[in-house]
Amino acid sequence: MPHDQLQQFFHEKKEKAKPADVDWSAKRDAWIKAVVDLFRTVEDDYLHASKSDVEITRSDKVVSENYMGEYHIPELNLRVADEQVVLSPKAANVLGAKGRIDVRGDRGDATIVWQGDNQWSIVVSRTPALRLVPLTANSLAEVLRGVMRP
Amino acid sequence: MTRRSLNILSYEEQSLHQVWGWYEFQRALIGEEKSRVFDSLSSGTGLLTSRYLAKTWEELDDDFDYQTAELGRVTMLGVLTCTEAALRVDFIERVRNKKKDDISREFRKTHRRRGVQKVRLEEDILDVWRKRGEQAGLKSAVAELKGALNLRHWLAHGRYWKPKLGRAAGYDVVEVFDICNDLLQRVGLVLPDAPHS
Repeated sequence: MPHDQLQQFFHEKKEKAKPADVDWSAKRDAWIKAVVDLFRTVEDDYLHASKSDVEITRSDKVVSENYMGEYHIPELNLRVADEQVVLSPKAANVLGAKGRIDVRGDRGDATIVWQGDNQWSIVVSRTPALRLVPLTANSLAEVLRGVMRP
Repeated sequence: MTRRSLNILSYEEQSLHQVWGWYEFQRALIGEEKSRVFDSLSSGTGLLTSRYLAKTWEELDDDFDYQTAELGRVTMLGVLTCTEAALRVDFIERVRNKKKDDISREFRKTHRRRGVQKVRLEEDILDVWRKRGEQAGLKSAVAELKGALNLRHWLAHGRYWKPKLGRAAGYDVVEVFDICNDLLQRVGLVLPDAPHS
């Protein structure tokens, strides 16, 4: 490949590798706000009647993502006796959704995805077919039953 | 059909170059899919295929690395087994055609002793080529293939043990192809590579 072709080849590669015209800062900020709002809903609404049984705390998590850089986002910790479940935001830049929260318990993990606005869903299964269930107090209870000790 | 019957060939064996062609096709598909998925991720658009849902950049990278590695392993098994098939078919044809060369005579003796089904690849075929073959570099080509056969056994039996491979660093798919291609060229079952211009 002559030098000019090599130059053109790498120039085209570099142009193609540039991120699309996406406002990544806005995407990141919207994600953080959505997570904060969700955790408020979980704490003040879904768990309102359970506050005497469950200890709810928040911690700070640092996430680093392509194009968005490093940012701080809250995690939600639910503690019952000696058992803890963490709702941990994983990333905003995921495929097929606007963000993802991992739910990690002693017995397993679950995935919650953000689909924009106030729409959050639990990924019930990926195969053989994708099954999403809207996140509600009841579906969150199902998730917690699945990831916490029996 | 007696155990000596030579009428066992299916003619369905793949050539080394067919296996390699399949590998390159699959490798390209993985690469194109990876490119499609990452383009979608970097453009911030939603691509809703359940297998990718909610996966991050790093997870997708790991997924595609896994697919590529598995394809490599399946291909190495395919390359090694089609090499075995080529050597075994050659064994049968040499016995059937009653050729007068040393290799064919040795194969006929083995056939009289063991029949066809119990012919052993390493002792009855490869060792004969190593002892009787006159082609330059054949001894080391046989040794390389025998080393790679440990990989073939490991892959074919489900990888449940810690393999002791002929090469301490293990093999990649190109190395296994080269080992098999080299041996098959030296025994005359694959045309030699065209000289580089």
